[in-house]
This record gives sequence, structure tokens and C-alpha cells, in this order.
Amino acid sequence: MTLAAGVLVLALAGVVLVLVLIVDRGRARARVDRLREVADRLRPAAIDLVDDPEVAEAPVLTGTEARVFAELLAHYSRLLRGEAEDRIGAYFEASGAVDHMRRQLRSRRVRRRVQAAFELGDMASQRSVPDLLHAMADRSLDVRAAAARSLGRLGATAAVEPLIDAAIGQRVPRSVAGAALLEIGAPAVPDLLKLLDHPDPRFRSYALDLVGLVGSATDADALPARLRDPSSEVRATAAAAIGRLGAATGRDALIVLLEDRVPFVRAAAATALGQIGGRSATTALLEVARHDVFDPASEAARALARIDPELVFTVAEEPDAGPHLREAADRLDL
Amino acid sequence: MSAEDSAPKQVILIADDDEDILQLVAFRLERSGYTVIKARDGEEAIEAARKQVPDLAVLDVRMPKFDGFEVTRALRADEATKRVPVILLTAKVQDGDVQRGFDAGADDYVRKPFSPQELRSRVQAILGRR
Repeated sequence: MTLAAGVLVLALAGVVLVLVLIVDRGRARARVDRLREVADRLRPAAIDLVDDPEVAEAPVLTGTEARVFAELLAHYSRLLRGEAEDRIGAYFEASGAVDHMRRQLRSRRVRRRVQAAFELGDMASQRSVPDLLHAMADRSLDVRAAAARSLGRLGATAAVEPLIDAAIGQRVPRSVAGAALLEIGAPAVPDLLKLLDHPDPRFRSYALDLVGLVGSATDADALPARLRDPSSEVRATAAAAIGRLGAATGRDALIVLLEDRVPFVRAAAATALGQIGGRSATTALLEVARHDVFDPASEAARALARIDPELVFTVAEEPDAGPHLREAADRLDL
Repeated sequence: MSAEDSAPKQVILIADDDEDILQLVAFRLERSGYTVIKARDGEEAIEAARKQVPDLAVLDVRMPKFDGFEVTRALRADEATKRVPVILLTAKVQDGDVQRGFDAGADDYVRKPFSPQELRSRVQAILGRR
């Protein structure tokens, strides 16, 4: 009897639990549907605000509608730039949301500071940049990372050096700081070029890497000087940046760098010469491809294949061609 | 009614799985006087283009079912749609997308985040050249 009652109680408890889960799931689904319906209803107003210069005022909303409207605009701020972004920033400033989040950045609760640091990045307001820079020194890694991400979203050039400093000091994950600096993009270049003379070689290397990613060939004039940097890491990164930018002005200095004492620097120089092109480098590259150690020789052979494929086919037949030129010729055949 | 009003509107196909972007771009182009066909994935985009050949297509690169490159190639492979100009919406940091887009046959690209005004200018420039 006791056993049967126990089984019955357990079965009933199971049924109740399943019913609770079904009701809970139904509620969650209904809530998602309700939010989607609100978003669909408010989207035209959000588009008007974002894209119509004649719309000066946003609709007056409260509660759920206000939150959904803010989420729509935050989403648009991640996808749009130009005047649309300016209008989103003006909306969040006028609504008081920017100042509210700036105050939240000073909250004693970490969760609030993280949320504020993150959300400010989607409010497109430059007013929050000084507060976010200050938040880069927060004791919480999550707050610092959210602030770094938001400074990138806001395209804050004032954050270039603090972001590099935080990445090198491991106060912010390098991937987060790097993504933020890439987000700032070309406007970061003038500040990055100033860092090429930084006393710490890690700063010089990081800045060179980014110039190579977000700069253009016209930004490359300052880079060849770094091919003579005392740090081998900096020399190699400078070579890579010049190659990525395709800056022909660096070709002669890169040919000299093929004689660097450090193999990975010579390899970087060979790769860059292949990216830049130009037959004036072929004699020096041939020498490296035939006689250097593995990495520089392999990169030199690949560079030659990009610059002058016919030459590679010819020299690969010669008795002293070596394995790298023969491999490069084989790859050309493919 | 002016001659411009009575002229048939040019048709633009927009394909993006992000509803917010889809509606915003459609709104911007409709207000500029175009007729817009919306598609929410690559398969819908190809079907829509076969049903009514658009004067231009704006395609997001990252879409379910078929991505923007595949849709571009499908348009180029079909006799009816092979001359439809294509503008691709690509992510900011994916340089490879631009090259892949041109290889697939796209005519232009706009990087996200983008300016709606800039997209409209690109559309007008391409349609104006036809």
C-alpha cells in the first residue's frame, strides 16, 4: 500500500511538472510573439526617425514599447552609419538614456556597469566617450571589455592608444581590443602612426600591424623606417604591413631586409616583396630561394612565383634550383 | 500627372534575412520612387527574380539557404536575369567577400555598417548607367 501510494505521488508530481513546463513554455512563446508584434508595429516609426530628415521627434512611448523601440534603434546603430547614426545618437541623448547609462557606469554593481558599458556602444552618442575611456580602468574585466567594444563601435579615435595599452597589458582580451581598433578603422591611422616611435616595441609592432590592416598605400611612407627597428618583431611586422598595403615605396628597403640576421624577418620581407610585385626584387629573391634556410627560402620562392611565373619554371629546371623553387613551380602547374 | 509619374517604376529586388535592414532599405528605395520586391533568404530571392525580372538586386552576402554569392551566380546563369545588376551588402571586416562578390559577377558592393543615402546613390548610379 505504501509503495503504491509512493508511486502514485511520484507519477502525479511528474504530471504536474510536465504541465508547469508546458505552461511556462507557452508563456515564453507568447511573450516572444508579443515583443515581435510590438517590434513590427514600431519599426516604421524607427525607420522614419533613422532615415527621414523631416522627422524631428520620436513617438512618446513607455514601458515595453519604449524598450523595444530602443532595441530597434540600437540594432540600427550597429548596421548603419552617417546621418542615420547621428540621428540615433540624438534620439538617445534627448531621451536621457545616454546620461542614465553614464551614471550606471559608476554603479557599485558590476552587472549594471557591464550593461551600461555595452549599451552605450549602441547609442551612437560621442558624449559617452570620456566615461567609456574611464571605464577602461574598471576593476572588472567584463566592464573593461564592454567599454573597449563600445569605444570601437563609437569610432573613438581617442581610444586608440588606451586600447593598445589595454591589449598589451592584458587588461582587455586582445581579440576584443583588436576588433575595436578595426572597427575604428582608417580614422585610427594618424594615432597609430604616432605610436610607431613608442619606446615599447610591443606598441610599435601592434600599431604597425593595424596600419597594415586599416591603412592605405598613402599611409605607408612612415613604415620603411621601421624596417631598421632594433626589434626583429617590429621589423617583420613592418614588412608585413608594407606588403599588405602594396606600398611600392618600400620595395628597396625590403630587398635590403632579405639580408637581415633573423630568418623570420627575411621570410616576412620575401612575402611582402611578392605582394608588392616588381621585377627589381627577383635577383635577391632567387638568391634567398636557392640558399637560405627553410622559411625565408620557401617564402622567397612563392614570392617569385607571384612576380614572375615564367622565371620560376625556368630556374626550377636548373641543377642548383633547390626544393623550394621546384615546389613553387609544381604549385604553379596546379 | 507628370510624365515621370506615369512612367513604369523600376523594380529592385532586396534580399536580407535581417528584417530591420530589409524594411529600412525597402522604405528608403520606395520613397525614392522604386518598386521593391523583398526576399528573406537566397532561395526566395532567386524565385522572386525568376517570377519578375528586377532592374537591380541588392543582396546580403550572409543569408540562409543560398548566400549572396550563390544568388548572384544563379542570376548570371539564367538567360532572363543574367544582365540584372547586383549590389552586395558585405560585412565590414571581410575583405575576401568583396573579391568573391566580383568573381561571382556582382557589379558593386556596400559594406555594413552602411549609410542608407550611400546605398541609394549606388543604386541610382547603376540604374542611371543602363
